[in-house]
Amino acid sequence: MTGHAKEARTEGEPPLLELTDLKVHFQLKKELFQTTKHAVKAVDGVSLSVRRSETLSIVGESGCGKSTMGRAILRLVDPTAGTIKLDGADISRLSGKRLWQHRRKMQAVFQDPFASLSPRMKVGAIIAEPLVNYGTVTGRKAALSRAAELLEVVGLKGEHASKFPHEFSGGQRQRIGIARAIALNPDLIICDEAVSALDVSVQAQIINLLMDLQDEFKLSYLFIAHDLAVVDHISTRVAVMYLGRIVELAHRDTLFDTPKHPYTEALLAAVPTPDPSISSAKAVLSGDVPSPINPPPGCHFNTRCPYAEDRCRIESPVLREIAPHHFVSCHYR
Amino acid sequence: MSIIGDVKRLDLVTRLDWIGTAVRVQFGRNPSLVLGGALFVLLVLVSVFAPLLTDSDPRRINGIVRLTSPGGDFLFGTDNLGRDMFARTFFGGRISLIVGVSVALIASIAGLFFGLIAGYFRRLDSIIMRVMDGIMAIPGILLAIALVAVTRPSVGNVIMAIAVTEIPRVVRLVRSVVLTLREQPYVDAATSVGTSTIGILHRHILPNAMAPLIVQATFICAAAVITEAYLSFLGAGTPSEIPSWGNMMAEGRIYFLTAPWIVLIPGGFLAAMVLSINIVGDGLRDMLDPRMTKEL
Amino acid sequence: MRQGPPPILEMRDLAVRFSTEAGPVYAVNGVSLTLREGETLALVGESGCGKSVTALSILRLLKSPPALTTQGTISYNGSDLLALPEAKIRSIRGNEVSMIFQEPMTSLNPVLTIGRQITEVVAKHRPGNRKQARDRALHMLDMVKIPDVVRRYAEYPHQLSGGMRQRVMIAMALACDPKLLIADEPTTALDVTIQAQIMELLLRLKEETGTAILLITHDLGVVAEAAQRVAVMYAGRIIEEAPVAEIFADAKHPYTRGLLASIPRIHNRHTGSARPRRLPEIPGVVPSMTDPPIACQFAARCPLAAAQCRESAPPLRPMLSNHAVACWNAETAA
Repeated sequence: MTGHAKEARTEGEPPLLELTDLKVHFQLKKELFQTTKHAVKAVDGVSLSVRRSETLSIVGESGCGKSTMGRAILRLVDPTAGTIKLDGADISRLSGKRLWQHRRKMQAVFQDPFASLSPRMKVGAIIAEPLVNYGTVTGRKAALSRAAELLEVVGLKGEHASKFPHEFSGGQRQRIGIARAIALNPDLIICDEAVSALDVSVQAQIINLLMDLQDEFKLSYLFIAHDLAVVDHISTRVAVMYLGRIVELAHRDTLFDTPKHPYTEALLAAVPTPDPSISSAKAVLSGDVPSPINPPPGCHFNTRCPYAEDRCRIESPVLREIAPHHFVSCHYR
Repeated sequence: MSIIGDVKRLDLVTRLDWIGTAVRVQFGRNPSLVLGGALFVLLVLVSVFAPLLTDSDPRRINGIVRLTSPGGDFLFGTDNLGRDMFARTFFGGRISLIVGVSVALIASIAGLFFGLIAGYFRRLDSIIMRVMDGIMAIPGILLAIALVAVTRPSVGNVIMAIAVTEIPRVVRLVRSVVLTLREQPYVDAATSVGTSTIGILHRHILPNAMAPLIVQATFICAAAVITEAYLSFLGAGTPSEIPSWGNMMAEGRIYFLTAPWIVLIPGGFLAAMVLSINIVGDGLRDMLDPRMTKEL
Repeated sequence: MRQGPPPILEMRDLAVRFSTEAGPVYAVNGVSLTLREGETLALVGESGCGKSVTALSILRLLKSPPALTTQGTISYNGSDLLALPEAKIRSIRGNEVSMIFQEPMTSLNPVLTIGRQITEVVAKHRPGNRKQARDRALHMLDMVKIPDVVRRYAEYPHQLSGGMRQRVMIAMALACDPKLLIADEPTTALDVTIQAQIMELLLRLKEETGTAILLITHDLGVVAEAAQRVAVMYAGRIIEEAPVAEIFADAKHPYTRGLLASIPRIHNRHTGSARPRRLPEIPGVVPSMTDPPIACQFAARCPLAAAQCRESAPPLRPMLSNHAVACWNAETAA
């Protein structure tokens, strides 16, 4: 109940992040004798918003475009069309100094805790880099002591600043990545599969840390993940993506309790339950995810959908609000 | 700004420490590297300190003692003009070293610069790489002969001719390394925390591109030493009044049957120098391999 | 003593050490396992606990050096696999005992068609001519539900999706009717809907063929759905072994309990139970395997650790008829 109350309260405020019809298409190289250019429509018209202090999770299988969407918001790839409004300002076409000014409001935590830290930089320098970039502290002493403070905030020790990343375990490195992400006091953190590469016991530590930091610093998370159990634990709202489009978007409890889109249903049914007493009589979804180079016409899910009818193979469904705050992209739900 | 510099300085200390450890480990694992390194250092020392090792002028012609066998007054014998081969060999080593080191430095710095640009700024990539392909099509020896033809033989010309033809190879290497590095998540992370392009190149890409570059530089150095020798042998290299291993062998070749030492001594030193540099390069490649540094 | 089908694989006191630049790494330290005919045993643990090394040791697939099996026996069919001559073990691999891996792309030869790869396995181990081997390969591809078998037979691994490739691996592994299938993280690299397909396939094929499965995984959800018995590994040792229902309902070892508590679960909204805001975590990190503690490996992270735990390592002792625990405090914990 409290979740709904909070949602209602924040409804009036402008969202922190607002995507309108965001598209990211990757042009494929034209092959010899090929007349038309092919494009991978990694993100194909996504509209959503992230409110202050909420966690919006994006779930979907590999290739659904969720990571590309995160990279587009971070402006690591250029959007093909649509707008990205961060705190009211459209950053989708900005570059150089003006983009730089907006970057500090959103930071990122990446999946691979081994590859996301420069191997030849010390931990202190890695965490101090954003502080130095934006001149938020003056002098190297201040920057170093701030880095040490941040290490303690994320549960490491200040003296770890003088070590190299390879001296740490995966979970500890992810803490370092989180320390770097909160260094600039951002409003939004994009967590791109931030706990996916971690072992269960370490994953619990990092999830707890992310939630503690959210409370302490009033952070908003765009939490990109494929593990539905983690998503259920951490989210305020959840969006399900399939082949570059959002197929369902709702409050967490609504989505997990009463999923409407057949894909969401199948996704939830496929998760193995860590409890042998629950019999798993589940409808396994057949087939593979189609190639995003050549997605099926109409509803992208029609090739695997048990309920697909002729209309689904011709006409693309739009994302409609079928109940308050519950959006589904399906002709028949 | 300075904190990163500060951490860098700390880095240097630990890195020197690390090199010390690495050398000790290498000694047990790879004695040929240590022996090759020792041979190279010895050759460098005798070349650099050549004036201290001998009083005789390598250019002084003395008809009375021409074609003296090695031993006695002249440890390495004399050549057809009676010049002291001992002095000439060590002074000749200086030319080889100057050419080798200069070419390696020029090619590495220029190659690093263009390679970073081509690898990181994709718009400039095809332009730079096509120019490099063009340069690669020029045979180094012909370029040197052409340069000598329009100007006159000089060590500087030799260095320029060899360096220009080596640059494209370094550019290709650096570019391919940068292409891999720029896709690394830590580069994305650096972009997200507002690091400028210069900062990314300087702090995140350059340090990780150095290891393969250093290895490549040693091989370029060895290749340049050989190229200098055969350019000089052909008369298109070091002018004949300056002794170099190449022109010594060229002058000695007609006396090979009567005075083989004139060819064999500089030839032997040339081989030793090239061999030692190559061994060092191989050893560095093993040592700087990131998979091994992780374990160290 | 427990009754059941006869054991087909008995591993006794296996220890494996790796030599590295940083010194020896003690990956497996005295692991004993018994696998019975037709049974599915899950070997569970977090990365670096030695579960994959244990699995690879069975078919002697570890590269030596750096790996060195320092002690133990693995008896299969009355002979010790660790002592067999190389030619003999080769005739067992892929035939009586076969294996599937996490990443099917790296286990398939990229320049041979998948049909040819399966045919070769069959031709190597089974009597009969080429035609019969080919028929068997087609039959296997059909059995793992590869659509359009004849066309797929002539395709190369890169033309297939990840899920399809794993199906091909399973077809190849089961082509010679193995008595034991070792599955090393078979679904870890796959998406959740594909993972469900592959697990369903594995379980169905197990029903049909009666092969025993040693399932190596870190995913407790997969364990709950597929295994009959579970062995939990921590830092190179088995610390608890029990039937699957008991592990989930009544785990005795503090590590197993901590692990089960720390998994995020999809909340059961119908029971109406409150959801904890914080996940219970296991504090600390896994001990370094270059210098493993002589005492209980888990003592440094254990909420129940007492003086005895820091002095000597607890043996894996049976607590109930079929539930074994390696913990000095197992009784108090229960």
